[in-house]
Amino acid sequence: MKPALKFILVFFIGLELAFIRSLWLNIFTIIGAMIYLLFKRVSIKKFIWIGLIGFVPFVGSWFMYFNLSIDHSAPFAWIMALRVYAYMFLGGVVVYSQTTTQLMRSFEQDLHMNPTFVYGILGALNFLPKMNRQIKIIRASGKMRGVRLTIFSPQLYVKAIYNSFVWSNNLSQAMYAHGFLEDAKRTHYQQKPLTCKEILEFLFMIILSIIASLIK
Amino acid sequence: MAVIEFHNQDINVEKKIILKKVNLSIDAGEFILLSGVSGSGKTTFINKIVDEYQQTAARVFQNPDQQFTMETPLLELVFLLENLRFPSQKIGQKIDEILREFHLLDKKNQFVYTLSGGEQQRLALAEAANLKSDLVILDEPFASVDRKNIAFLLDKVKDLKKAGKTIIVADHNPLIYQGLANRIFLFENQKVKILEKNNFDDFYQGFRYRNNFHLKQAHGNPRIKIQNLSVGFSNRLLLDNLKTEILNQENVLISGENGSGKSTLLKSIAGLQKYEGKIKTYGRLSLAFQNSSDSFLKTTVDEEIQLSKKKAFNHYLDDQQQIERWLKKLSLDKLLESSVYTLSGGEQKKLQILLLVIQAPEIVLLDEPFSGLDKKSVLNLISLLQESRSTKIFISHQLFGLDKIISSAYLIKNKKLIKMENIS
Repeated sequence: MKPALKFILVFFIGLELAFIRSLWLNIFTIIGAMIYLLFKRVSIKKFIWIGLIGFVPFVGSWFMYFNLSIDHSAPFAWIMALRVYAYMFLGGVVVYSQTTTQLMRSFEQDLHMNPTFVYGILGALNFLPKMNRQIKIIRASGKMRGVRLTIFSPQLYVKAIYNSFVWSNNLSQAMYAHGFLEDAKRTHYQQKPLTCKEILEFLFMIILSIIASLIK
Repeated sequence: MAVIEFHNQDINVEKKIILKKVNLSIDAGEFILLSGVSGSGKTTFINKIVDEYQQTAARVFQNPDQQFTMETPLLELVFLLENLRFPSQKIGQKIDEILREFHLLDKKNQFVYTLSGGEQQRLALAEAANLKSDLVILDEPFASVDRKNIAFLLDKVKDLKKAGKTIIVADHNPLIYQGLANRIFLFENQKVKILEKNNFDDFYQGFRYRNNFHLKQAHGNPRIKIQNLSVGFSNRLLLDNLKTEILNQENVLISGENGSGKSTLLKSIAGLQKYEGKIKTYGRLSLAFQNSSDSFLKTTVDEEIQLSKKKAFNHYLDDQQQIERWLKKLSLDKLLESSVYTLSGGEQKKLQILLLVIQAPEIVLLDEPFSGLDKKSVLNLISLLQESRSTKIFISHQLFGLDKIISSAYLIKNKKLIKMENIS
């Protein structure tokens, strides 16, 4: 399925999870997302990571909703607790089964989103790891000059903000130097049009999620 | 036919006049060389040309870091070719052709930031050459590039000239372009002067310099001990089992081709890179980052100097009069109240080294400290560094003036660190 379509599907199921209290919807979402991630050969480490990260909120939600509900309803506690993992695995589908570049390019090609927006976001996202490295450099640089910079030091942020300004200027210059022009037509590498099969798969998944949410 | 024209035009940056009454024109197919000291307005001039030019100008930036917008060489070229409306089905084939031509095919899917300086500049020129623009602007394109890569890139620039492109180059080493440049623009005292053709030989002669290195056997206590050091990146070994000892007050040059692992070695010594083996340093250590603004922690030049004085590890240069003398020599004396971030690239480099000398750690690591600097500034900085008693390790592709300070040298070749007996 095209990344953009997958994103909309995940968003739709996410909305369903938020507004419909259904144990079966949670279970189907978790199982479905897990099967999909296995099919996409996502490493077991990432599954364990999701499992570990979600464990504390899962247990916390169960006890909180069990104790807070007037009738101490265990089914209600299970719905709320499993929601944690349902959201985490749904997030995993978006994050682990495609790259940000694939997702943003799919927004442009399949949903005809404005290329300036798409490539602006993509350029900015590509700066994030750079920002991370920059923070490390700023801290090392402070240490070498005899100044200890902690996460509470304003200097760290002043420099990080300064670098963001420089980078945003660099990004627009670099995009221009790559021949990018706002509202100009572009061709697309390896573009495959949306197929009927993909649209049917999408609709099938939506219908399946609605049915799951109706099971009592 | 003129592609760019200026008629008595002032060129400003945020209302500050950088160049006064610029009066010149550039014709199609010309090769123009821009020369002038750091901070004389060359990059400002280039930015103005990019603004004034009717179409998109192909550009290779001073800092390779500024050049790229996507994660990998493949995605960079996809973005470029899509923007140029290259036929979709031919994009893949064209990318392979470009990468093969610029010897980057094996780096197709590697993160751009992990490429060496030379590889990044090859990719930048590959993009500029394929933008299909008639105007190509190169701003210090070879500042951190080794000789082998310079020769390769220069051939590509010659091809662009042959293809009739208008080329504008700013470089502190004009000798590279001898015989190529049709006209030379000199930037001094906020003016752009066009050099007469019969003065070209004298102009180039002024940049000739013959290095005369005298490497010495060092004596004294060790400052850095490296034992069985190995560093690898994504299953590829970059440095293999290095061993050496660098002694007190030695001034060491580390050379090697782009991508051989010089910066990685410095980062390992500074503790900013994971490695196997053992590195022991005796004394406090500072690394002058390639991007000089990374070293600044305050806002103005004066605040930076006061911070370095306050936090000085040793007192080689802490007398106010001496500091003022150096500020004047480095042309920073009138910039004391200026923000460190509004200084030109060259001014930032000069300030970075002055701060290091004031702070005086026992070990100083300098990664391409003179890239993008004019000859006079380089010589001034070398005399400044000579005043410091720190042990200094340099990585520099430009050897100009370094013979005055270097006492021992190493070469990184085939993942090994080789001590050199002499530098030819």
